[in-house]
Amino acid sequence: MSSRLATLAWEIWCRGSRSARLAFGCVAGCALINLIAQNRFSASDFGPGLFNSLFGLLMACSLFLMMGVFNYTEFSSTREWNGFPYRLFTLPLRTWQLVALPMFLGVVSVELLYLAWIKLVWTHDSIVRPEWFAVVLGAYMIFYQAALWSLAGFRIVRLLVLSLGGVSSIAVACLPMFDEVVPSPWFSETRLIAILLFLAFIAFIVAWRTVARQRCGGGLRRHWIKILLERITDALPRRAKDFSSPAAAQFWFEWRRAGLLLPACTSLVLAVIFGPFSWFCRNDPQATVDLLLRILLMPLVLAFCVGKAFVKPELWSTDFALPPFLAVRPLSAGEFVISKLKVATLSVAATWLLIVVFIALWLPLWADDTNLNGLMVKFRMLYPQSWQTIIILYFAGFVVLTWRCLVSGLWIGLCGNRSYYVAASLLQVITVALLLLAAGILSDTIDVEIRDNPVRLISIALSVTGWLLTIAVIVKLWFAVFSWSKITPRCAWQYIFIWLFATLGFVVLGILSRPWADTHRLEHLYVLAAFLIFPFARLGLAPLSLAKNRHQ
Amino acid sequence: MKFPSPSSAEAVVAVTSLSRRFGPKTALDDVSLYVPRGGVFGLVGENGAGKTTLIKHILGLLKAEAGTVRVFGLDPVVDPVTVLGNIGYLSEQPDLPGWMRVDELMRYTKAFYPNWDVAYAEALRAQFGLDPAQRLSTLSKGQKAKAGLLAAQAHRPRLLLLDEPSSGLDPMVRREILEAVIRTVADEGRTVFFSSHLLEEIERVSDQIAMVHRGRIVFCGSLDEIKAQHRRFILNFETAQVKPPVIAGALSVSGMGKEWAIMCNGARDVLPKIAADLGARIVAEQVPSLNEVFVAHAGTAAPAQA
Repeated sequence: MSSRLATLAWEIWCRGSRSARLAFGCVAGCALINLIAQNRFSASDFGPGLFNSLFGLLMACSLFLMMGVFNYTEFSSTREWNGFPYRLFTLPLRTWQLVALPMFLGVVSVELLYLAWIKLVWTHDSIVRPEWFAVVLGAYMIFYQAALWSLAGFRIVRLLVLSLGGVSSIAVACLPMFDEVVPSPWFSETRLIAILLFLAFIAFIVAWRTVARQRCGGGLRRHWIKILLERITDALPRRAKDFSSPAAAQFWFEWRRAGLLLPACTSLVLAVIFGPFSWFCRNDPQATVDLLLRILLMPLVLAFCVGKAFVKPELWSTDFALPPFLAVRPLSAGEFVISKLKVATLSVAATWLLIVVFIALWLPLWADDTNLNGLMVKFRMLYPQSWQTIIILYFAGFVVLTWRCLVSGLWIGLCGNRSYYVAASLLQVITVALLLLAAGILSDTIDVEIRDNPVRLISIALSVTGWLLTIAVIVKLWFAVFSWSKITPRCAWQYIFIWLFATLGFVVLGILSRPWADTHRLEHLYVLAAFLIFPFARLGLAPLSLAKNRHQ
Repeated sequence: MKFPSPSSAEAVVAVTSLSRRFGPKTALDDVSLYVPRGGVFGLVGENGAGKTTLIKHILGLLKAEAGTVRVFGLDPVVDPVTVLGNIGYLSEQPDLPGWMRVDELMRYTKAFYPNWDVAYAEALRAQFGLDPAQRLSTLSKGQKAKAGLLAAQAHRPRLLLLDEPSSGLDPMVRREILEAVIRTVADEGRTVFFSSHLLEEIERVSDQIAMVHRGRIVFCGSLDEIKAQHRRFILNFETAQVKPPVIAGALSVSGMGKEWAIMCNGARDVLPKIAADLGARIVAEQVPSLNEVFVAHAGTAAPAQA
């Protein structure tokens, strides 16, 4: 018996050893920085706390990586879902053992990782309530796996539940802090730990029973949810007309696969988080302003996350190859990409429509808009002639940025190479990490300069920013000439026209919304930044990437 | 072994000196193949021989590392839209989107092919017993194969490409697929390229047959030509042989004691002398079945040279 479990444990380790090594590598790297920082900054006012942001970022990444190791799912061709590995059901092991092993290993691994962080990295700042955070991490590892396996047949629902779980983990982790503000026995750490452990046990039971049911084919009870959903979808109006062109057919295909994900996530977040929160804070004028900003930023965050999957040839598959069903369609790579871009456009439009409808109902009906009205008055005083244009252009800017988050990675996602995709994602994290590291190392110097020569520092910063933006614009346009040279002239000109129109709008926004007391002449920076917002250069590579994927 | 090949001008598919490697493994090694217009071309080979790799090159899903591939005179990588617009493809495991319904699959596929025959598609759907409102994920394996065949055939493609379409299917479904193949050929000018390791099917419908073994074409021609080139001889030795006799040109040697069966490929004229030199005499000469020819070639360590 123990050798069978050991074999399964070995298999889990083999599958995720790379990610586990990377996770512990983050700890090792930060521990080294912490050691160096302690020696170097021991006499300074700030000490190793300069690197808290970097440590926090890498800690979050390492915990995500560790959770990814224990994403113990495999695609089942019979069920057509990513769920508990179907092939394990024929092993001579009880279901509770199959379920408990990855959960146990997951909890142990994440606790070891957490212990490494607090003992080796967060040595200068003692972590407040370390036991509580350890319990939260372990419990959420169990919730995560339970959701993965129990909701395997419900892709979008599972995605939304996992997203909600991730967000709720932060709120739950902060619960004991409320004891200081609103003393209540329900916020005591001991009671919360007991509740969380109990819920984790329930999650294990649910996962065990669900996997057991999957093992024996589901039985009658498994089907009723699916039957109900299928009856609902059957009742919805379906397309009966023929498609006017192959492009129209491909647009329909992509929309059915990926179009509704972003609006569905947005509506869930609005309904479950922002809606109730806005009601609880309906008498707080400052909360209205904060909430409005978060609502406007939320689609960008969601699009950034959804975009990681959207840019792949098949959103719901872990395979990066173009499915043969699509690869043998007589449709050019350019048309495939155009269909994805159109679906992204419609998806973003639907998302922002939901946002506008929510804001249009919330602000007049139950929000305290005292502070918001005050801000609007000041805004109209600053820009008396152009405030409406600025608001419209800012709204358009948010919409375009949301669309950019969805499609800017198409050239990587469609190329069919998982390593490039992972490397591109890692590059984003590494870039932020390096910037935080540099900020930590140079913070003393920067603080001294701010104290002694603020004008000189601002001048240098603006000059460097201007040069960086200029180089970025030049590189973008040069790269665009190369990347779009392979595209058919008709498509290229169509997109160039759209890009010019959108960029002109952002240039106008930059000019109109500059501070009226623009002593530093920031206008040129806004104009340069406007050229970088709308995706151009890398999108031209997307058809080439897809062609490379299609013809390997 | 060389067989007459149609000129590349007549060929629907012309593969010339095609090679392909996946890491250290050579999937295709200097393969040349010409599929003539009209008729059924059967491709046989054991698992891992390179059949699917060759078919993927024809579809343009793989780019030739060496050599050329032309379909209707065009490079399927350079001009995929034109080439694929004239091909109907059915793979061993049709990866049909499970969320689609049958009628949606028909409507979606129809949009890509101007030659889609609505009446023919509807007739096929009725013949295959497919419910238009049924989701593809709820179809059985045989029904999925039929749905895939419907999508591949309904636009009356100039080239119907079937990659082990009847693998894992029951005899009824296999018969329907074969009938579809015959129906296609009945239409003038249309061609079927059919790969399988179910040799009785290949034997039944193919006009030309090629065998690929370890990435190389070991024979290619009509069934009659192939059978004419291969012979199975029964040799009787004067003394019992402890080990299989080594006979130049033999594809396979089986037996024990004094009686041994030798499968030859094109060496029947010289075999009597070889047998005599070994102290044996030929007691029987048989025309092998395609299955025996296949097994003899597939069992060799290296492809025999004509």
